Amino acid sequence: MQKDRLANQGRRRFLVRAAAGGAVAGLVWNTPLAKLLAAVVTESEQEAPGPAYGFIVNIDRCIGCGKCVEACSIENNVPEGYVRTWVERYVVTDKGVHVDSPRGAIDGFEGLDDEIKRDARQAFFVPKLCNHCLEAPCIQVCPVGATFHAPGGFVLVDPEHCIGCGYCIQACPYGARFKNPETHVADKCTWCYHRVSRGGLPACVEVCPTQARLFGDVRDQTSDIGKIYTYGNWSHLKPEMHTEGMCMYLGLPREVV
Amino acid sequence: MYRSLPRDLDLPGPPDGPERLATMTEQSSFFDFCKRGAEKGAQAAGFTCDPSPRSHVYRLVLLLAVAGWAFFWVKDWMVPESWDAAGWYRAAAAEELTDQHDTFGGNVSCSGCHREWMGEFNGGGHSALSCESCHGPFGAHANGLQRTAEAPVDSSRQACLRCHGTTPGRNTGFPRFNESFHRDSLRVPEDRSCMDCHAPHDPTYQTGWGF
Repeated sequence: MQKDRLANQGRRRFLVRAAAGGAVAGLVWNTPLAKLLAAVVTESEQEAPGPAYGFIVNIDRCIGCGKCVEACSIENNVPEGYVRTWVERYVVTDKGVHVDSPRGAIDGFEGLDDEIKRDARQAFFVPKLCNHCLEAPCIQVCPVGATFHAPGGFVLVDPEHCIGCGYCIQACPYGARFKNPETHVADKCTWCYHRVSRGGLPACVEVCPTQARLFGDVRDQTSDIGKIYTYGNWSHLKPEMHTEGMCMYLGLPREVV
Repeated sequence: MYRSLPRDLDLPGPPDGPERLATMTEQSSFFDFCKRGAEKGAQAAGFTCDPSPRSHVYRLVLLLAVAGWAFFWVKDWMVPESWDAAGWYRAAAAEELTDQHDTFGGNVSCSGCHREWMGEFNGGGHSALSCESCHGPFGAHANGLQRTAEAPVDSSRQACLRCHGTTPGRNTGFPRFNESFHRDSLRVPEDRSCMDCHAPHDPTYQTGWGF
């Protein structure tokens, strides 16, 4: 009797536990684990390479009017006191290099100190903006994946996902990022992603009176930018950082940092 | 209690019935409290429930399973919907960023309608300029969102000198305002606008010596 009872209990116990185990397995399987496994198993589809955008700044052409900065700030509602692109004026003298950029040159440049003017050996304007690096330090350091490479090479910030920690602002070797005081998230030049997505040009390129700024697909060998990218003697800002920026400079003097 | 369970089932097991309950009342942990409840329930249902010698393992496995399920459920809830669809970011963000309006329409958007100005402009010395450089942004107007009566221009000297003033760095090949020539040779009063003599769309053409 004792043995029969035990045997029955064993069967019942087995059935109850099998049902419970099945329920647990079903709950686990139904939800994300399946998705996870499916993602690992399924091969991602390979698409044909789209455009690879690049930006060329021609130092010899820039006249320092600052229209680009003004247009950028209007186009993107950049808060007062901040700029997404800016123009620096370099004046090289025997005593040193004088660099200024009053409010990012949003209103252009005023006259210079007479002493600096007298000593000037060489002077030029350097427009600066986000380099949209292929090896972007800002993307590497973002702890939440809020900054990313969009198709085409744009380095963008997801304002919904950004937590505003500011690591990317410190990581950028070009000082292209800032914390937007209104949205409290990282902000920077997007190469006017919204305009380019509709087939337009960035606002700064649009208004530049001397074509010192060029934007386009560097793979398109029929375009100026494609030819310059392939054959031109361009250089990067801070090449020692190995950020592989897609913002190239023509006629960049060695004094520029 | 389970540690004291004999391996041979023929040997007398742990006490049953009231004796067992008596031993259990001595325990005070929460698990024992629950177990007692289950025991009572089993008795009410008409069968007794001997504890398995491996129940501590089952309990652990069940706990791990629940914890694992909870982990994936919470992860699924926390991770945005389009995450990792195109890379380690929220793929929907790229779409959302294109929602921004164009503030600048570009010269292409002007030339479609304003042909009367474009003819004069395209042949002139300012043909490389953007209309909106001087007239201000008209993207909303070009996209039909806003009607505009006029396109005002800042006709002050400063507006012209922003590009044509003489400052270090400005290429000497670029047409720069020769202040002494205008002031001393042409005797242009300080308060005259550049546009009084130079047509802004084609500044090489001079409208006449209006001073």
